Amino acid sequence: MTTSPRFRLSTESDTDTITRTVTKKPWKVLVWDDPVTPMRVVEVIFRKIFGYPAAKCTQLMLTVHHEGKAVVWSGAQDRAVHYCTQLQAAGLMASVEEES
Amino acid sequence: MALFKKKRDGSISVHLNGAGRAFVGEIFNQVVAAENDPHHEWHLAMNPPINPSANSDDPLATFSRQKEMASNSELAQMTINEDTLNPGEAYAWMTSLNLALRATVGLHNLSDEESLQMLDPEIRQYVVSIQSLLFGLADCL
Repeated sequence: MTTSPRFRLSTESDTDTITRTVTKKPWKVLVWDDPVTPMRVVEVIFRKIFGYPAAKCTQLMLTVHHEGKAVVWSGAQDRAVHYCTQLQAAGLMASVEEES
Repeated sequence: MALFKKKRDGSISVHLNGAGRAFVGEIFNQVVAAENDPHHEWHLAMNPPINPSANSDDPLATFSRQKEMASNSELAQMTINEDTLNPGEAYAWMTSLNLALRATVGLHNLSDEESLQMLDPEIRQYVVSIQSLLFGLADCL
């Protein structure tokens, strides 16, 4: 019969694992108002790129129109950049910005 | 008669006469040319900064945008003579026309409705024509 040693031998090495969670700040995708793009076009582009329901697309479009800009997506930097390039390629004024 | 009409099967019929198609086709040609030519007057407006706080944008991101724009505008060019578009083709038309609108806005520094009203009548008519096409396409998508 074997028993677990109560005390470790001094020759054993201890390994401490420290798990550190680094929380990265999210990045925002901003869409800016412009005087010429029809509102309906903005809604269609939001739906196509983000797959948001129609009501959310309308609400975001109205925020852009009335407040001059809207945060349309927030999250990891690489995805934010991807969405921004898609919006720009569709002719919208968009940019990314790190959350402050 | 509407310029575009959504059919029951989801496709979109195009009701443009010869002059209308020539107008739209020339816009698609200009968008393709502007993407490829850094000296084209639309190029700068079509390639704004992605992250304005950075000194320069990631080349991969700018390449990705260029690829997306090229994909849409080339598809639009290829389908200019079609009587019926599928939703993907109609979206390519819409985004290419919207890019042309964005470039025109950038070129003439239009920041609000007032500046649009003060535009040269010919350019204002150009902007209004593109907007009419965009309204029609967006209603079908």
